[in-house]
Amino acid sequence: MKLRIKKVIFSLITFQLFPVISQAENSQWVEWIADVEVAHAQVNNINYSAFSNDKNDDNYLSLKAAFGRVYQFSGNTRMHVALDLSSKNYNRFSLMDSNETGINFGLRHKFGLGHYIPYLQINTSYRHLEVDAKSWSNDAFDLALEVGKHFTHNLSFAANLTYTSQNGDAWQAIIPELSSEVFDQTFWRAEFFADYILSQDWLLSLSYGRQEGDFNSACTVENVGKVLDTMQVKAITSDPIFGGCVYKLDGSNNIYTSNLSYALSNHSALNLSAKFYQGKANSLDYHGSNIQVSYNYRY
Amino acid sequence: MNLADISKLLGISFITVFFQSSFAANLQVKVVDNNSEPVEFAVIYINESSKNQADNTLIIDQVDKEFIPYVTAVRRGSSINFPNNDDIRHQVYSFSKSKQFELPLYSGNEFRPVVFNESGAVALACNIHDWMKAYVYVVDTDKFVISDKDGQGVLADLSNGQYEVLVWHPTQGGNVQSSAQKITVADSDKQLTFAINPKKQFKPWRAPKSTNRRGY
Repeated sequence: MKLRIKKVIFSLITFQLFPVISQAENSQWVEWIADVEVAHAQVNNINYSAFSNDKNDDNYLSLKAAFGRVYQFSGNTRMHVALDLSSKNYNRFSLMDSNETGINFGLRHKFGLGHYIPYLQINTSYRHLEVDAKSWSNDAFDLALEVGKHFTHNLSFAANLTYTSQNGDAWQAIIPELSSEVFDQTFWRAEFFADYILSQDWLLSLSYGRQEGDFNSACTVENVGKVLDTMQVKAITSDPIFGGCVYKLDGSNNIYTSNLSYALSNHSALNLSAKFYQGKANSLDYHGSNIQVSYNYRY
Repeated sequence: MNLADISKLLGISFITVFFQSSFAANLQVKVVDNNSEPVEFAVIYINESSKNQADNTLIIDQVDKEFIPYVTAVRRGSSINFPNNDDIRHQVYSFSKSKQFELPLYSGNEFRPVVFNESGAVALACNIHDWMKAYVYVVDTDKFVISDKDGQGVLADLSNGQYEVLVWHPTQGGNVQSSAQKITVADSDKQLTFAINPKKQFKPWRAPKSTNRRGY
């Protein structure tokens, strides 16, 4: 989808629909959004290489914040608008350092009165990622649909479908017949979440995600030949971060996540999460992981 | 009135006060779970119907997106006001058999107090903020108390006699009557311990998770 069309859809949802549905009786701006996350993560196979001899590990410190407000239309429907900011600093591969700014809009509707009533949520966001390695920078548009409900006092489930379209610049073409727009990517992701309250202070969250579409991998020059031989590479360019090439391919990824939350208060928690990626494109397999500990605050 | 009359009056008053105080006693109750850990928010009460009037209008407040207090015990026929002291709106409701009602999206103190005319448990929630929960327990007696964080509660000034004492807790399984205990009060303070079996039922999660999912 062209970037211009995505921008139109995003502005249509956020700025055109709002005046119409805000006519609902009794609707008004309600709570403020101020979320902060400080995290430290250990990343295995940060370049998501398929080759064991050029996988790289690193760790990073990240700071994320979201500021915005919620608008309540009725007892069952509410909307939020938020500005997202995040920053990542890597230990070894400082060219991976990045800053991201974005705007997020969401509409949430509950289908009635009660704790066990399901909800439907639509989210759309537009964000700009600026990476120190300029070729990795990109703009992204997301559109997500989520449904969920509480099944018991302690257990809830949700399912989410997200479409992402990323637009990066064209960089150095290193193979004439192949595009260099590695970070022009589109993909779909379906995720299923389960949250289980272990005690009043502990929450366990598990999720499984399946992502179909474009993803990128970086490898050394020695392995590029194998990549070009074994699969259909959609784009490739030189990579300043890991000293080789970064390429785009079409494939699928399974993403397994577990998260343990400890409530420090009603507004803050410590979170320990482990995310495992398992990708496949043609005959090559990709594996990676991200183990993160974070402090989260919500106003 | 001469000195003799005053002396008689004082003497009668002294005897009356003495005998009144010796005909009333306190019942100290402790509520624990199966691991002998103290249980807070248990309603301890006498199984009887009181002819006394209902309580004055009580308050269950909404502050920082929480109901305060978590458990309220009232006499049948009492009213409860639900002021919203948050700067955002709430939607309070109950589906409980003893009292079903809804206070649609409101702020401040827009609604009249809600009257609770039937005995039993009433579970309250907010339709917008999932984690907001509270309970009202409606009793027929005027002799009730809610256990503190040490599981303790005192039923004060019980006249001499035999009583059946009951305990209710929001997450207690089974019938309240099944844990009833009988006690005889005769001039001296008594102690009673209840061991109940509260279910592992927690308030919905409120603290922030580390996730990219939006849930506002």
